[in-house]
Amino acid sequence: MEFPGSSATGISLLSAVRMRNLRLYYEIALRAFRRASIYRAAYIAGILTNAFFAALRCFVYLAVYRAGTIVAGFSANDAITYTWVTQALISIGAGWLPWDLMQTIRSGDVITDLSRPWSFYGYWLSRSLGERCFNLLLRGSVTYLLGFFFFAARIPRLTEALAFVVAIGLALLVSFAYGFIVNLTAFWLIDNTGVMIIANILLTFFSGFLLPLAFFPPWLRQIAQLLPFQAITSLPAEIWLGHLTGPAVWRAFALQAGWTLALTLLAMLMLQSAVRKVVIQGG
Amino acid sequence: MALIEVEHLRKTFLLAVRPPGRFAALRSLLSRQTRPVHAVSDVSFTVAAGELVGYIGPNGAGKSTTMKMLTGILHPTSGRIEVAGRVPYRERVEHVRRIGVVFGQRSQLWWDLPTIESFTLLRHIYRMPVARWQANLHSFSALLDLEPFLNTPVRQLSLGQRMRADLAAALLHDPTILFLDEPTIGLDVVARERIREFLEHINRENGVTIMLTTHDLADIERLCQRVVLIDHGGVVYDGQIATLRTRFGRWRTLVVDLNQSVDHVEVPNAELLRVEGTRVALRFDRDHTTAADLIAAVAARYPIRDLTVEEPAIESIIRDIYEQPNTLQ
Amino acid sequence: MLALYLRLIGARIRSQMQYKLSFWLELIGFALSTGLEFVALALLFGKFPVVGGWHLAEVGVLYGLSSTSFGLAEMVSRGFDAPFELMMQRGSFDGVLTRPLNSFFQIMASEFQLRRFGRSIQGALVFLYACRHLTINWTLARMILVPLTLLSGMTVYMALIVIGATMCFWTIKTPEVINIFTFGGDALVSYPLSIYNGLIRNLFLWVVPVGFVNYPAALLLLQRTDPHGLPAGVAWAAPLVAATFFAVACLFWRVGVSKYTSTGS
Repeated sequence: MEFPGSSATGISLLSAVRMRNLRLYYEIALRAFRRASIYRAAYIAGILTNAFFAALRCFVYLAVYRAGTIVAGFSANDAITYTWVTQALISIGAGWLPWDLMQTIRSGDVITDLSRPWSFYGYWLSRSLGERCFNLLLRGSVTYLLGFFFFAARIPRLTEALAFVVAIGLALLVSFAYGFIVNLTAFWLIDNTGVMIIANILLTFFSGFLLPLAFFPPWLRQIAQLLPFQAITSLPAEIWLGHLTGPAVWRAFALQAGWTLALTLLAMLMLQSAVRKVVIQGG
Repeated sequence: MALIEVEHLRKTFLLAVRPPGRFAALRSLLSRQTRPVHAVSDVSFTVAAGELVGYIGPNGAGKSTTMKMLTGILHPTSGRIEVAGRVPYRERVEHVRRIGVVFGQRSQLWWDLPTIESFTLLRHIYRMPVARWQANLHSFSALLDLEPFLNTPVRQLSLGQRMRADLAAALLHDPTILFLDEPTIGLDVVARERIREFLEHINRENGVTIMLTTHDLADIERLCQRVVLIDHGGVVYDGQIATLRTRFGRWRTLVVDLNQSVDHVEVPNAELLRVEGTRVALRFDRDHTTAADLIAAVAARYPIRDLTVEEPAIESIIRDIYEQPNTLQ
Repeated sequence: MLALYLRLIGARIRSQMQYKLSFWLELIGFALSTGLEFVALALLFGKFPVVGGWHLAEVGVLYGLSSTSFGLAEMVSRGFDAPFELMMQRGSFDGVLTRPLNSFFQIMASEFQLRRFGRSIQGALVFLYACRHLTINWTLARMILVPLTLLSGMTVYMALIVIGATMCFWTIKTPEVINIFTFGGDALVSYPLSIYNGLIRNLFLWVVPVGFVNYPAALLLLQRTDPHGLPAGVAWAAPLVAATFFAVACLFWRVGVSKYTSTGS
């Protein structure tokens, strides 16, 4: 079986930026964006849920911080702000891995997607971007506004906000690549639920989603710094907090970009291998 | 006293109406607009013990709604309904214990368990004595040929197998009445025939009263002496199938594709219904001529490329009934 | 009735245990991912010695009791979650009504997810760890209090799951909002209720009694007093409160079913 996408997988990146395809990916992203806007009840529920958990953590921080103290470089307001930012970042995949790609592999629908004349990676990336942009703009930001109103979460300076936007963009790419890699294991494992759960644990723990990395004991912090997950949550959040300035920001970008490249490359290689497996074994 | 008594049964649903316009969503938040839909508007009939009744009508006529009220799933807006002396929706558990229900499109069995285990669970649910249950199981197993797949998980069964299993499951507990909703839908000819045989057998031998809804006229012709025809929520015809057949079931339509287009076709013993280019539809009375004769007659006059013989759909029978209302009853 | 219930869930358990490796992986996976909450909690205590005056081990009691109860509730009442939602989407609830059994019973018996016990395992481990690091005076009363509290907690969480499912009769999909009270409640009562503002504290004590079946019992075990004056003795009323709340959930379910039989779906 000939996959138009398979030969292009090796140079997917190039095919992804072909002008004709760019238009296609934009449409896919737009449709994903729209689809995310349909479920109004889920939308409101999501905001309330995220806000609840953020508020919960804030109460804990308010209880532990004595006025004016700074722990591990975090003031009480820093901790509070960090909480709301990370909840807002759920929208870009900070907390949970998507399972949709894995489900198409299990159901066999992935074969149809693979045989379309597009970059398979580009297709899923566009979907992810569309959906997550919606979540970020209309869900995450509203959640954060609640934090601003009720807990005085910080509003950053303009330069910090701009840097944050860049960091988010890179975080999206890293987050997507990681999710893609993990989902793809379904090609080789009949039941990859175990892998998904472990991968999710690694993500939520080492990204700084559950707890700021600054609060980790030094040896755990060192491990976290060697892993890509901080690029998804901790780094953008620290930029938003204003903890990273000047050259530190550029270092953060470089780290994010590095992980983007590494994970995307790994994802493409795995995809090639998966496609080869499908072609030979018939899925 | 009749086993099933239905009197002036009515069921009205309130359908939410989305007001048109830009702020539709906002407006619907403020005020809920609803439109009443009379799924069943005035239905009355009785069924005696041991009858095999067909309950037919076009889509949306109110068949499923009536069945749901008879089985106790839905409660009526107004009217009286009594099955074996009980009001279904008021005494659901007791009522349901004595009836069997088969939904054509949904299975009642446990999806990932072997068929036999579903039967065993049902034995416990219906509190059946083991001996009686086993006797029923043997008898149904033989009649429906269940043996080959008794140990197969239900999700692996073909549609025909699953339907047979569902039928057995519905009858294991010796219900006095069996309600069937589209039991032969999607099945091949052989499977259909097997099920019809089975239904006829249990009605005749075991005296199970059967009420079934179906779109398949052949089911009706084969099984039922009596049909209740329902349309737009009301009973349009309630009587013997023989009458229905002699009055309206004797028309057939022959559709021929000719080699050239014609303006007009004239053949003895047939009425021209319509001409569309090369396609001609002729209606004939089965009592006056056979399809074979008519085809020969047409072929003698015009070159035929292809042909079909259409049976009258229930919809067209109903249309005919409407056109000749005073011939009913 | 009980025999039938055991038979029905027995079928579910057997089919779950079919793939032994998968099952164990998922069980451990659940234990780990839910246990992560406590790991984060413990790390936090690494930087801050007390929360609201409570030490890590004391908070461990709160966490352990709640987590164990929640895991048990999830395991038993799973039928009210995805299976029921699917049933409503497919319209197969009719099939439930054609069986001569109470519909609540049928849904409850329709699923029993053993792997959810993973949460209870880690909760119990945390509780045991906490007890070893505390000097609790284990009177007979206190020893009875623990299982009583666990059962009460389980009942409250089950009631919440049922309430969430009942909303399906109106909205087809279970509203995520119920997660605020189940998952959110569990996370909330893992810390002493005294740290929250009055509104939240009262909400989770008196309206959605997740806190009522947890906090007072911890006060009794640890011989602490509540700064807002809640008498620790009310812990013994937990079973009653839980039963009442569960009864409310059952009533709500009946309303849902009657709505269904009125409008069809």
